[in-house]
Amino acid sequence: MTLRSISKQAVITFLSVLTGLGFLHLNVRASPLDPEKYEQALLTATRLISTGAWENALSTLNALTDEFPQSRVSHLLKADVFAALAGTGEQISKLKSLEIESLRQQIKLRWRNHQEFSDKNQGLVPDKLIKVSAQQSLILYVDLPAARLYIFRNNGQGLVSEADYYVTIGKKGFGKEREGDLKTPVGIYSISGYKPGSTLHERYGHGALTLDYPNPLDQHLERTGYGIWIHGTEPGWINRGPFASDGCITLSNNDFKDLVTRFDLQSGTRVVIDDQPIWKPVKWIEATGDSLVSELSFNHQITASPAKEESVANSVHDEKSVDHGLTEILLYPGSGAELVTQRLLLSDMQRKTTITEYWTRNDDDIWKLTHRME
Amino acid sequence: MIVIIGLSVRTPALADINHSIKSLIETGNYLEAINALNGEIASSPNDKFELYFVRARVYDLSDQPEKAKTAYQSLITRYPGRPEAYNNLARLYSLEGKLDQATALLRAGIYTQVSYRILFDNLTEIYTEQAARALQSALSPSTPDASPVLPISTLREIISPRINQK
Repeated sequence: MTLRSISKQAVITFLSVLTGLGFLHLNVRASPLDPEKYEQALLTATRLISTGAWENALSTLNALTDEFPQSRVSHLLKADVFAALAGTGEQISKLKSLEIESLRQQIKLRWRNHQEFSDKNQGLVPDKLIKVSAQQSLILYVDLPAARLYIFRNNGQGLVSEADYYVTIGKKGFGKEREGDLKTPVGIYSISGYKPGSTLHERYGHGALTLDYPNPLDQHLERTGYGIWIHGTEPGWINRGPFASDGCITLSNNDFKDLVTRFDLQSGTRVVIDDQPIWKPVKWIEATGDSLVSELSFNHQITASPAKEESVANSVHDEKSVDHGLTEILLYPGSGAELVTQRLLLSDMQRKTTITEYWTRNDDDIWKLTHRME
Repeated sequence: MIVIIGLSVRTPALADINHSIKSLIETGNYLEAINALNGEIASSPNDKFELYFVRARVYDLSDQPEKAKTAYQSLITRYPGRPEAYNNLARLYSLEGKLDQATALLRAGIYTQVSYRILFDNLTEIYTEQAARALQSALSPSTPDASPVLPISTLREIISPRINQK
């Protein structure tokens, strides 16, 4: 708090307020914003508000609402600035309407991500992504608590974060078990298709990427529901609040376009949806990968899980296939499994097969195969 | 005397004070400065607002906030139409985190001038209206953000230019 002391002219303080206003009016029409700079501008405005730079905050927000008239969070921040200037800021911040609360949550999540997360994660990788298959040129990762979707490029020497977006998830949060529970699933899925917005109801916005929920593990655990997609946003909104879908993961339409056009999204691209993200240095990822490869060798696995349930019994190893190693190792988020691997097998007939194996760790810290499929 | 938008406000500045007192303050000899100011206050036949005001500032400069606060408070009592003491007392309260007292004093300081009061109230009125409209847009942006063309009819007009109240 630094109030200026009057030492010369009482009026100067007041005049500077008026001059400030003139400045404000001159800057009402700022240059158009690059759509990709939407979040950046929101964060700039939030930062300016937090430092009490009302005029600059308003100028940024006016540019935002000119370019994105549907940006409710920008309008709300504007209301905050005007209320602060009017001396009624507390009344607005105490407004407890659900819609306003949801907009505030969105701003807070973006701000927290900007403040703590993006800096902290420089050079860090989610611990779930131990080894991504070389067939996967990129992988999508959803950090549920932070309401972020990341794109990682798999360049052969590890993962590089290429972009990340604010996302909305289910009205009731995450941990989907039942159809209609309005929750977003936690687990590892694959993109099964792309539907352009023109072929869908308008509530899907610019399009949808379909996911294979329920995956084989979900089916094994008798989880129900369908139609869990990654999609754009309905008309009238840039982004919904953090909890607003029926279980889908939604992005702003601009972000969705960016996601599908900047990258060559193939069917089969993995989507890791994580409820307990932990970010680790690349060295940790590599070391963990190495030790898992030795722990999960084909022979070890058979001895470690004798007479396993029927899912193992009908597997392919009685065809005298040769294990060609683990092509993918991902720690499995949520419940039901702790690890999922892709294993390449080569049969007598030189037939290549990739099998998916789900693992849990028993009380003796030994990995046990719980489910396997071709 | 400085004339701005029809108002004349005479405010104290160190330049108006006896040169030797000024140099005592500038060199940090606050105790001697206060003694000299007390002498001036006792002997000066003219209006003593400036002397009281500078003495209050020297209390503040010499890290005697309680004395400075008392001095500003008594200036407000003696010269309720002068805005300066309200501002500087508000500043001291704000340093203590007493923001409600600070804002009340600042508002009272602005209200010492009738024209400023109207300007300030009108400004607040517009900000409040803008806040309400922005909030409306936040809830339903489909409503066109037509604030520039929607009139506000509640602003007060200044009827005649007023001279600064004493």
